[in-house]
Amino acid sequence: MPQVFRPRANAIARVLIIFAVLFVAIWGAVLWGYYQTPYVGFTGKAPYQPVPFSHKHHVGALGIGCRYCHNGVTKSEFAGIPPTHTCMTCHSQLWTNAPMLQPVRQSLETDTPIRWVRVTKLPDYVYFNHSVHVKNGVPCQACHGRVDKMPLVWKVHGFRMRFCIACHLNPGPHLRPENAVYAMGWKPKIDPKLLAAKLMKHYHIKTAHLTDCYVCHR
Amino acid sequence: MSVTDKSSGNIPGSINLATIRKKLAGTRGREYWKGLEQVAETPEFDEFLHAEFPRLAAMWDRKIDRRTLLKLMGGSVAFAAAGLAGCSRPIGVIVPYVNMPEGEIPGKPMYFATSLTLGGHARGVIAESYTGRPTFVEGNQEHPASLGAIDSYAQASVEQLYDPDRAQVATYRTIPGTWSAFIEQMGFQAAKMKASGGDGFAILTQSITSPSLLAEIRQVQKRFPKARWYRYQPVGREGVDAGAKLAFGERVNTVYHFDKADVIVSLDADFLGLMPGHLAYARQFADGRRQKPGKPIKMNRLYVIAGTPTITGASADHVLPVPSAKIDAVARSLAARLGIGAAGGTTEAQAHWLDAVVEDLKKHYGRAVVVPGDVQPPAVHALAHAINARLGAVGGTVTYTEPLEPDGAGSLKDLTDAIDHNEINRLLVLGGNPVYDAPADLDFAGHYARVEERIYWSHYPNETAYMSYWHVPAAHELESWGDALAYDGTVSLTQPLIAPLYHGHSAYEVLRVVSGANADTDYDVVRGYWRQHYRRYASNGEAFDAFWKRSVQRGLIDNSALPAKTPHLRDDLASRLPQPLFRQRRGLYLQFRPDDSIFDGRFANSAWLQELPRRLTKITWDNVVMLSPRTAERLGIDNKELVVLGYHGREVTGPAWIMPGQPDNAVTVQLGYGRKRAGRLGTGVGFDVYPLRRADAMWFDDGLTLMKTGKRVFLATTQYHQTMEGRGLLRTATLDHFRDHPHWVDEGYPGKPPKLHESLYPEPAEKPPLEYRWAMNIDLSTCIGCEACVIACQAENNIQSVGKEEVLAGHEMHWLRIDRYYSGNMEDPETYFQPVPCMQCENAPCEYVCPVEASVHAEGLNAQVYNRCIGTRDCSQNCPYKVRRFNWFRYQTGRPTSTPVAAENPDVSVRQRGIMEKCTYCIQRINEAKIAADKTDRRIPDGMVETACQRACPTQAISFGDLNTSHSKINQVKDSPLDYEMLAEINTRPRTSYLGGLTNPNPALAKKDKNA
Repeated sequence: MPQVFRPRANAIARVLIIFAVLFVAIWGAVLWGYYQTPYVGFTGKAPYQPVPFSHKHHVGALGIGCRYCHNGVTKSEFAGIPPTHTCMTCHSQLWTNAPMLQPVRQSLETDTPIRWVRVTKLPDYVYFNHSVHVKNGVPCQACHGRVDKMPLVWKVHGFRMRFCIACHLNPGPHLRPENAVYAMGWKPKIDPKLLAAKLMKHYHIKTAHLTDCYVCHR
Repeated sequence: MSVTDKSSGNIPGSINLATIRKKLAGTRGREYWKGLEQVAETPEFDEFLHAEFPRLAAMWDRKIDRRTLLKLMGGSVAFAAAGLAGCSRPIGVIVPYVNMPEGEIPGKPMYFATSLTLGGHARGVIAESYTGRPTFVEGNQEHPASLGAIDSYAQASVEQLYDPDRAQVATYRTIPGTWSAFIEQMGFQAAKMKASGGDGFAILTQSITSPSLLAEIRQVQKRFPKARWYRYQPVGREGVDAGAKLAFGERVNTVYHFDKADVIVSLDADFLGLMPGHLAYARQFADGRRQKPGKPIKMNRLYVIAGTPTITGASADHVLPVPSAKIDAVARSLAARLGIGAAGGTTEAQAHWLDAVVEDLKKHYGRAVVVPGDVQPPAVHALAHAINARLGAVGGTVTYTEPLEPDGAGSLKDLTDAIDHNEINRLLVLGGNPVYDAPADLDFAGHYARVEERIYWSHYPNETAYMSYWHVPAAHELESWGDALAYDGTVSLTQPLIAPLYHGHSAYEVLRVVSGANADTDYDVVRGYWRQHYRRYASNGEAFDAFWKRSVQRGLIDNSALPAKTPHLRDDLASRLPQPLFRQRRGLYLQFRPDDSIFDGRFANSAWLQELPRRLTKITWDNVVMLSPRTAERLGIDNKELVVLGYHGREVTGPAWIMPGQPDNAVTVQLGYGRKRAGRLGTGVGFDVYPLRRADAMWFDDGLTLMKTGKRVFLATTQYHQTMEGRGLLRTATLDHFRDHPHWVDEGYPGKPPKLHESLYPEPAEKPPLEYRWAMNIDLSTCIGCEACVIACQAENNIQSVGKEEVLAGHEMHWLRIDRYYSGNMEDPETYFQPVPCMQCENAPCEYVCPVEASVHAEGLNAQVYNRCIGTRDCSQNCPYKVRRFNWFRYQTGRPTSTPVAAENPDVSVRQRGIMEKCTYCIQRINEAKIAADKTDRRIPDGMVETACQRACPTQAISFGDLNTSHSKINQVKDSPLDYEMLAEINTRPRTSYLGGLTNPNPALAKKDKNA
């Protein structure tokens, strides 16, 4: 019986193996790169909103606190989107004829809610609770970024699991004193490492079982 | 792909009773068997023993015809095209309120006290609402008829609320109409009626205890003096009323106090399962059976004379199976032994049994009680009243109050007679479904068709709606205001949690519109009624608004229970008793019972209830003809064989079910099935037995014939699924044995856990130590097998129903199952229940085999991470307790059995196809408590976390808590010498444990073969 493979089959096999490895590696790199893009994470791009509400103006310039509108944040898992009535506390007096606010007035008139476009979304199998985070010194800014600088809000972080886990493993560096949780652009005045240790103690945070699956998934 | 009408010979489960009897005769002591198939070692039982999902291979053989295949292919092409079009990314929308209601916090549920009725009797519930959407109900701890517990019917109310098959608009001759057109037409006719004083106008209602609705009916009668009121309820209590009249000369409401009773005798009464007040009764009964740490060993004793096996019989220490028709004779003999009247005819064995019971009753003067069943005739009730008086029970274990329902309504027979005499031309049917559930001999449908104007108010476009001119959709109890009395007369208020979803209207509105009065809303009517009548219950000088607010908030009116009264027992009762029934039996006895799951048929369209295994047979999606083993043997009828029931010239065909503990010659059938217009789920399930019912024999009669057909059918029973080979899983003993051997649960059973560090593997201790170690205990002495926990778990954890065909394949999804065991012979076996949730093993076998670490330990619990699971099912295969459930298909949406999306609990993931799921100890409730505790920097206090099953349990058989909290309730329970773990010998270190079941048999009636 003659030889099935000729000597040059060795070379072909080598080339094929190299190509196969390269193929997998390149595709892997491309997919990984794609996965990092803001497109996949929905980050960096502000979606259109029915009313072009500017956090930059209201928070940054006027200094209205987060909890004025998102008042569920200390009590509930959901920070809350303000009802039309909250907008109208000021806008029944100010800019009462601004065309930009027409949808708000219409909402009040027709008793139809404003349909805001969601910016931040977690998968349905993740149970995130706002109240326990702000109560334990995790500032709004840690997840939502410098909202006071956003004309229309965009998403800053991709919220992949590693983002959550990183903080659950070592929350210290992200924590702030109680009076700075809702502040934007706050900077620690003492050594951050010292502050982290102090705050971990202050908030009684134990990380031992903080990364157990049942903390977020149920 | 219909399963029921296959009539092949290869349906599993054929059994040879002679072999079984021989085998059971050879058993000694406490050997348990799960069913006749186990004893007979049929291939079906073996199948389930060896494979978890034995019928999987058979599913490949399902025939798909060419048309179905083309349809599916066409569908998938269409979906693919649609999918491409939808390539752009989805936009999520947040819709806030325009004006947020006061106190509302989006994301946090609100709780409202309200009440739900069954047969007119209220049970208080707390309804949970997420941003205005009711999602869950649980018992109201302050309500006397609930005491925090709930039954399966009330639990399923949320599912019924969102049922898409509910009547959606008012219809005229089945053509959609409008409410305003209804008002217009009714106003016109009421004006005409006014002239004649309401001549020819009649109202047919169900049992009503609602004070405000009764006042409305009185108003109508005042407005139209000639109007008539009739009342019909298929599961009625006519015998109870007539019995009281016989004994006292007046109607009374009987309230039992089982907490004060040491000896209880039930004459066919299912007081743990269905009687008004059953939740409270179950609690009282269980409190008398629970062994409390540090207290003397003591237990009440329950004797049941049972016409058919019930959960009350299963909890009894002694059961005497007697056909319901012969209980009259037994009751007379019982009374005669206490010096009341003449004895009825009893057999020698029955006489011996009764002697021992009477001896026991006499010994417990003042602490004994006899409970007659609702299905029993007046004589039995009268005798029970006399016996209770003789036993010194009145004022102690039994109290009497004014009746809950007023007299003055005619019966259904009166109505059909009146129609026969052309006295009715306008009939308003308020609720019920008489065209379907009226006794057949009255021919209600035929009579109804002759009424000129037929107006009907109900939840579903059902059989009666189809025959009515106007059909007005009813508002659900979670959608309307109302009131009703609890079993002890406590006024319970109903408040809406949501505006009517489907143009529903309340009974008040319909009654007012039909009678031409102002169409006030239910809120105005109910509140208006109580504004007039509140002073009786208000504290000194309390304003109505304060009273109303307080009462609505609590769901009941404080101190409104009816006061006890002492009716005078007739001295000549013995001579007034009617002649004993059925001295000469013709044919077999036919017995009707409301169904464990769908009651009289009103819950037929509920997937939760249809799939809830029936308490004793564990059958889903079907009813059966229950026969005793001896009767089946005599007639040569096989299990699951279709038999023809012949009675008074009518015939009905249904599958036979050989029922251990069923009295001989008595055949029991369940009401509520074979619906023709129930909705997508209920229509055509099971067989209809109402055609056999007669107005003069509502509950039982003789003269039944049974005919074999030789055809056998599939019945979807869950009994043999997830069966575990007997390894001391269930442990029971008598109270005397417990006194002598306090540690009997550990004696003679293989189940000793290996010592710590005996294994070469590292111990599964959590490092660093856990803050909380959650654990559960289930007391087998007090579990009554009512299945409230199963459906509460389903409602809380978004567990899907799967349908009959899937249950047949062993694919049911209930995380918590209740195993039923028998012990002893087939004729009067002892029955035990054992709920089996996940054991939350510290050393969990499922965790080692998961290739993707979806089954892991988290916070000391055995977690299943759904978003990681890839569905290899290795964990389920390795679970010794068989408590893991796999989503074989997409059960959660798009199937008629899928839970309505709005009824899902937003705190729990809805699992998709191909995912393993299991009991989590209600981790969402633990997390909620943990977050609340964390925010205040405290530990979770003992008792703050209650699992859904624990909360639902009427007998508080389930304890749950943290082992790390010293002196916590769970630690106390687990310190009991009765505590044992299932399969502890395989070193799983389960967190769920059991308290060994205790019974308290009378030594005078001890069975010889029992060694324990």
